[in-house]
Amino acid sequence: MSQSTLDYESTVNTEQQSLGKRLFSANTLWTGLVLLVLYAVFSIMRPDAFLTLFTFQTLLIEAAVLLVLTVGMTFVIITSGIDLSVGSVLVFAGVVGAQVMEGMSPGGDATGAGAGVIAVGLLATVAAGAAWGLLNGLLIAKAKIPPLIVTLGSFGAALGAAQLLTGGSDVRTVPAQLRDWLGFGQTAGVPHMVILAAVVALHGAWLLRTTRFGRNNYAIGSNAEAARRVGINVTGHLVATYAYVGALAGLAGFMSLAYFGTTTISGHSTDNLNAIAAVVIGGTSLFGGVGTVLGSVIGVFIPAVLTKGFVVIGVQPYWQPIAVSIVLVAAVWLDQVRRRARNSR
Amino acid sequence: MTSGSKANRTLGLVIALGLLCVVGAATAGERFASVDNLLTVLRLASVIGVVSVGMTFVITGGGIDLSVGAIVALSSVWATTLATQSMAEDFHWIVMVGCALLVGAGCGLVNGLLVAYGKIAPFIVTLAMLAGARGLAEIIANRRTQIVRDQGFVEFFGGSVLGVPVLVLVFALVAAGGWVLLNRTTFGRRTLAIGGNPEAARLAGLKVARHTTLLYVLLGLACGIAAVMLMARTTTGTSTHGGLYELDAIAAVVIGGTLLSGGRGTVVGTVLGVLIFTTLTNVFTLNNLDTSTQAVAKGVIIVVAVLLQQRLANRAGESHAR
Repeated sequence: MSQSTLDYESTVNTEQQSLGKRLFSANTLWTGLVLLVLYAVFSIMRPDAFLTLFTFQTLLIEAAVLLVLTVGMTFVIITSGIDLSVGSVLVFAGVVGAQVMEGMSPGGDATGAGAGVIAVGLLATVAAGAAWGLLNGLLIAKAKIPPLIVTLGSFGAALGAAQLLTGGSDVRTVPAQLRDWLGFGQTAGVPHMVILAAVVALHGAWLLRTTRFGRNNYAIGSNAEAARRVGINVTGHLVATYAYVGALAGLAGFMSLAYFGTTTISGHSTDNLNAIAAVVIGGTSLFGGVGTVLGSVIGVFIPAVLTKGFVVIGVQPYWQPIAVSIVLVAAVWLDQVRRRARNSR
Repeated sequence: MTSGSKANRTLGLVIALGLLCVVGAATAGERFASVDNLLTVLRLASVIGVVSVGMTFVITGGGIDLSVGAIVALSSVWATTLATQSMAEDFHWIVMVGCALLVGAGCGLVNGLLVAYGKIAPFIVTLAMLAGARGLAEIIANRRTQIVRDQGFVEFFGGSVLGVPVLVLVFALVAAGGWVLLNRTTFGRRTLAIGGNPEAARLAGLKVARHTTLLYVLLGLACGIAAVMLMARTTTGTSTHGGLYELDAIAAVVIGGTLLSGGRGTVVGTVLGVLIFTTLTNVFTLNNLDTSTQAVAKGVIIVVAVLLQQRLANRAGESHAR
């Protein structure tokens, strides 16, 4: 397969170069520059409206939930897998968590719930997400069904299960304390949503970059059979990776609860594609074996800055998806041109 | 792939469909087992069926298309704008049909060129087209529902010939055409060859890039046809048409036995896959089960069906090897 040779070569390239060279040849630098240019352009066009602390804060907050999903998606795509179910798992986990918190509150109204109830709710949400991810992982790694099919199935099933749990209507009583603290709270001007997302991203980057788990992730994505032969537990690793994505989707569901104050059942049908787009803009190869968390973070913010910038300069909101899709194709195309040029050298 | 295991697979699908019908007849009785209901199922299956037949070609050729629902929406919107409809009034409603087909094929052409000549992964290209085409549909329609005013159009496609609805006839024609194209022409052979091993196909002298482009154009055209059918069934064109069609179509194609990795495809399987899903929805609806239960069941069925197919294929492969 021509794709796997491409990945192999680019992996070899990055391994042999010094850190400085690696940074310059890295995709991340270029996408990072694109992000800065976009930000600068909008700032020059409307310094009064775009270059404000408030705009910056909302930009970060609105991207926080997607960012958490994208960190997990980066891991899965590096293993050359895919997860279409993240948005549905987010909703499912959010519903489970919200209902647990309601169930523990007098009269089924969780608005006045205290810290204990919220902590249990957090655990329930993350556990529900992880359980769904575990199921995905078992079907993919043990039963060897293609990830696209498994997660396509759970994309529908998790959303359906969420609707079954609630009878189709959103859970609306979310603890006020949770909303005040996580949803709208901030410390020294930094929103807590953003801090949480940053912690997840840093942890993800650490996990991928410096641990054996991360190394195995790259190895399996480059060549699963070779990874198995050098003694990596491929099945176990894949199950753990999908469970990790599920747990992060659960956490994202909890953040979404805190921010929106409701379970937003119908609001996440395109989360999967947004997360995949962000990962790919960030330079992670869909064929596996190549990718970084930092790239994905930038990949989340390019569409986010575009969207926000368009709102600020008053472009019709309908144009946003078109612009985002052009950026997506351009990013991938440029990446391939550079990669080809590098390989022919 | 041996012809024996192919027959096995098709037989499995027919049995599954048969079982569904038995369950339907047992739980809903007369309401399920009537000619009226049969026609309802077929009419519901026809729109997504046409898209799925087109999708079979793209997946067999080693690609994927996530943008089909968005293309259906854009085609339906473009064909129902004031300008198109007034042209149709002056001339004939065939203008609307032509417009939908052109828009569909045009989107397919963009997809195909980017995939085949730009060498960008189909997943990315069509993901971008998904967002782009639906965005464009929203711009054109301004998020309003456009009513089809031409009565001739609605009557033609809403009518029936010898008791068979025109929509179902269109589906049957597309399916039959697709079967012939895939199984009885060089075009079909080339599709299988390219999907199986593009490099080998290129070395054997096939124009891989041009053929791949054509596959996406073909699917775009199918989306245009589906848009016309949807416009007739709902008498509207809106930017929300075709929501999640990509997932339904991919599911039907894969359930039918077409390999996601390319190189093997079956139109008969795809049609059976579409019928299984539509019948399932029908049985659920007749039993007053809500859409959320349906969504769960559908997800489970997708996964179980592929699991079973793999087991069957493995067993067939083993007995073949022995």
